[in-house]
Amino acid sequence: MLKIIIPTIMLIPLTWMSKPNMIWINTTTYGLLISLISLFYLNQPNDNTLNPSLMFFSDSLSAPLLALTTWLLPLMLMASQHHLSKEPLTRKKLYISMLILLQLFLIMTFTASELIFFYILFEATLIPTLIIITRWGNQTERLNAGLYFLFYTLMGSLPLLVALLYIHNFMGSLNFLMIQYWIQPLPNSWSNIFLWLACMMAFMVKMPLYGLHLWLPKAHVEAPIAGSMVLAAVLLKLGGYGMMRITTLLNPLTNFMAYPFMMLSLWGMIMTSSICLRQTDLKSLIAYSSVSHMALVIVAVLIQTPWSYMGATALMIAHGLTSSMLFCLANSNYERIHSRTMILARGLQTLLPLMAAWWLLASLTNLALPPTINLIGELFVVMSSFSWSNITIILMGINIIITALYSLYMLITTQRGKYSHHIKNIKPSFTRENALMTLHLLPLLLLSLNPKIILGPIY
Amino acid sequence: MKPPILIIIMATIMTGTMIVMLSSHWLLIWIGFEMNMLAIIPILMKKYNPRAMEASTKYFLTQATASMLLMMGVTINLLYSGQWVVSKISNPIASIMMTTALTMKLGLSPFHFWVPEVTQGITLMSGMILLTWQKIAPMSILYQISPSINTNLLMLMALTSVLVGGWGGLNQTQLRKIMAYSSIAHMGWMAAIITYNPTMMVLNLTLYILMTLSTFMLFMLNSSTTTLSLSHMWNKFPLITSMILILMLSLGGLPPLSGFIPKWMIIQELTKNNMIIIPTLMAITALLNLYFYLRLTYSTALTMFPSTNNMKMKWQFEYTKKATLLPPLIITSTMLLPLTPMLSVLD
Repeated sequence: MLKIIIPTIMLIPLTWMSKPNMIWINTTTYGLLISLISLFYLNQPNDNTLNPSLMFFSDSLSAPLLALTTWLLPLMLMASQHHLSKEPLTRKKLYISMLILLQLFLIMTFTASELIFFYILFEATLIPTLIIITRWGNQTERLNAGLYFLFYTLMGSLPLLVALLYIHNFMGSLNFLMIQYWIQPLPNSWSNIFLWLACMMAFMVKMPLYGLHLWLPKAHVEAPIAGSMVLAAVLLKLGGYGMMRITTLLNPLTNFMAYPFMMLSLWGMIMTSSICLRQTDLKSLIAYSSVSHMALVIVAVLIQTPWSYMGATALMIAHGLTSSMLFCLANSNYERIHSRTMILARGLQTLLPLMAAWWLLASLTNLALPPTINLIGELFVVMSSFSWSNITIILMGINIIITALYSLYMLITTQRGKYSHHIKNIKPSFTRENALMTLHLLPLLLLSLNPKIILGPIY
Repeated sequence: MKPPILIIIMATIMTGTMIVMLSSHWLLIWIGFEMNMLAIIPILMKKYNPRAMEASTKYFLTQATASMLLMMGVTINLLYSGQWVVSKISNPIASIMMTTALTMKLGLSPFHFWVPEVTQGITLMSGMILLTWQKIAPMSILYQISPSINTNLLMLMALTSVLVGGWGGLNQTQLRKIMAYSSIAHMGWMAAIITYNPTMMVLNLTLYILMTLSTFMLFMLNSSTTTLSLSHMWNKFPLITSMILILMLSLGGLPPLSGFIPKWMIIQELTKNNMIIIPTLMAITALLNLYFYLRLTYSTALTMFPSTNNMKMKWQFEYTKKATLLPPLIITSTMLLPLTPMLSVLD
């Protein structure tokens, strides 16, 4: 694992000591090289995990997320080049260092084998994200957004700390690999209910669950592009990953406790999808669509069947890439017209046809078109929730329809129709932007050829 | 103040605390406390204005009352145990009286009312000494009598201190008052763990002193006593603003900074002793603390407040204020978390 961590740490001296015109090139290139190393971890032995050290391990659940995280850093750097071009050199380097630091914490989080170590790094990812959102966001609402983001997550995760220490006391060790063999069934009692709540609420807030999702539209909208990308693609998946790890300790109480959260997720995914239909703000639309997709993941994790876990893992990876791509596309709009309102930049297909192709593909993957991995994820989740209870198929069906509706709404509003007359002077697409979209889309499409990689440990 | 006099006074303060920490006779401990208190009054009154005099008077009154209360507890203990040695206090009345006296000296709730007012009336340097050095002596006595302290009393005081420290600091813009409420809250955390594992109290005290020293020194670099004057720092010392950011987050107890170590260890010790609700409550109330630290960082490091035109010239001048040991202090206040496994040497 050090072969990923030490190069990531060394990226920070690389940014500070590169020549001014080489900082972006150096960090992006070496970031891509690091992501190549992380691909090695995708080669998992069956029935076991890769254990390179005492503190780190990787299994089929964390390896795809690790690959996603390391893949995203060069993409974030590419996306941030334009809006940072006017800043002084030190601030550019600070921004890049924040991104690299966040990447470092995320890598360690996804490969941590001890749960307190995981917790510390889970919380540690908040600090660089807070700094990126509050310092480099664009509107005054970013201060409020940072506060909401930090305090929602901390309120959820402080009980998690107490619960983890209690479990440590109770079981003797929190090393994830060992706990799997020591698990005793958790009977239904008041104190166990609170233990379950304490363990899960942190991840529910992070996912986010529908009732606790207020931080997400604020944070996603106010963050600069790299912040939005990493928030949507990876930080939300931290919640899903944590939930999947910690539910192994919480059986069979989960069958009883899951009901309120299932209800919230099932209803919430329809609600947030419907809100998307009425959004005028493009980034806000993508943010609410993230909530909707993550609600599916919550449903899948709470059902705890093999198919649902496969679906959850696939959906997390697919949504990571799709959502990040949508934010990049929205940012390419924002950089040209400096507004997030959708209707201000209409009819872009006539002006930027290649970008329209990326918009089309991104929207199609967002609405889970076959044979992409988005569909595999959603399909598995829908099927497993149908087996859990037949009625959920109605809600899932409505959600799929509304997802399709707002994805196409977003596509048609921005791309089709007559262009608004004031956008005739926009700059044509940069090669950097096209490369960015390709790099998002290529893994997404290639994974549909071999989805076994992202189907998680149950496959 | 003339240097010889300052040296004598500082030496008396230090000697007072040393006498408290090193003696085993209760009378000597009382002598040490009185020496400490009397010597620090001129330090508190360095700036000769009515506000400082009021602050010193309040400090004197509370500390003298606490010392008298301590003496009464000592006398009752003498009555029931027949000896002056500092050890386990068998009589509960004496123990409660001593605990009350010591918490009054520390500024724990419900005896916390003097801390913000005294800290606000004095200079930053005196405030630094007040909030760091003056906590060592009472804490050492609490450490020594920790087996006999009434847990309920101290836990109640700790819980209310964390609440008061959190809520009281919310409406403040004066930096010294913010640090005073932060001190109340941190003392609360320390008091909560004394009866269960006094070593963690010492750990918390050490880290708290390191962080508070760093914070005050950063404030003194700019001679800033209000949030507004701190917000001009981005113009003069941009690097210091990043340091304030990290330090404030560390004071708030965010991982992976070293301010998280005491909170983690205290919650661990409390859960080992089957208390679950109290550490959860304390941890959540510590978020109030984090809120006003974060507000400080918002105005200082994360936004660029408007500044007057004169300020823009400040970058030309190198600053000459002495910041003793500032780099090591900042590093220990923020980066000690990976060394937490070293706590196992305490076993």
